[in-house]
Amino acid sequence: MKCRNVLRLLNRYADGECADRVEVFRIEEHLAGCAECGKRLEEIRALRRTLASVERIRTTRVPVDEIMDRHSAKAGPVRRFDLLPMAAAAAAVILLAGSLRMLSVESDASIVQYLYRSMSEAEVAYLAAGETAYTFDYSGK
Amino acid sequence: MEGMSLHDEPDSSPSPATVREKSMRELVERHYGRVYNLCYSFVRDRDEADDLAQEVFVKLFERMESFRGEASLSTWIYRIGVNTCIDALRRSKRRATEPFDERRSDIARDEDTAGRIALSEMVRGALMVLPVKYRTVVILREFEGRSYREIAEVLECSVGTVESRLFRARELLRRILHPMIRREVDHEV
Repeated sequence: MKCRNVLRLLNRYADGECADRVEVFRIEEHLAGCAECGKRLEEIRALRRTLASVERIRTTRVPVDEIMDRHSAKAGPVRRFDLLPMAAAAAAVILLAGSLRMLSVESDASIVQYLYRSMSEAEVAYLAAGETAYTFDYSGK
Repeated sequence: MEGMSLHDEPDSSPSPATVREKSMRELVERHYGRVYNLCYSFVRDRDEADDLAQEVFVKLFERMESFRGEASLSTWIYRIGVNTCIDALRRSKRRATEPFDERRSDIARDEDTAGRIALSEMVRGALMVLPVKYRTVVILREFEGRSYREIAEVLECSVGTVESRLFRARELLRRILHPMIRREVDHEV
């Protein structure tokens, strides 16, 4: 492998992002006999260490209320219509079921309950996704 | 039973609006620190980072319905966060909050807190000199620890593009921070 090609791959190598073992082997084979590319790799690693040493900015304040207020101010009256599609869907289901004589009056409440429940489940799923927000599993890698 | 509704029943589930608001609040509590840090890396100003981080969550809530789980939640948050920051930078047409002084990059490595903060700010200052597209990949890779593939998903581009931008970004940073990098290499040897 020529220096020109290795230099393009050094970032990938330093980041542990090489495509496969063969690529790693070819880079390491070149590095074993090329001081110039070895020096460049050290510089990349030194740059990474320097960037990693940058202090994280800590904030103890989590402005939940401000965000909720901003959201409400922006969404405002529009949010009232959020339930319209759900209500329309409920009405459609009730009408359809009624016309097929599949539901009694009592079961109308269970449809509404079902809609509430399904929304809660969606929220739960949404939060569950948040639990694993920083866990990535790419089976292809 | 007069005036009794479904919600008045003791065993009834909380209303969708209540569940929704609780979810939103939890989302903010859980992710605000990370989003704030991301924004700070772009603008290097605490007040502006706070304002942008809030804007990110407002946008997240607006687009909640469009989240289909095709990307992970964190990828989605990063995507909105990065785009919000880039838009803000474009609006202000600003590249750096203060000029980067190359001569200061040979500052002695100081182990005390003030020294580390000064060093950190210097590196962040160097980052601000980079064009936004290069700055973005460095922030996601080095500060947020994302893989090439994850960065590609956040930026909606190819892995090859991420790699190419990272290569150019590091080349630029290597030149800007040359004395500091040299010192770091010597320190390791």
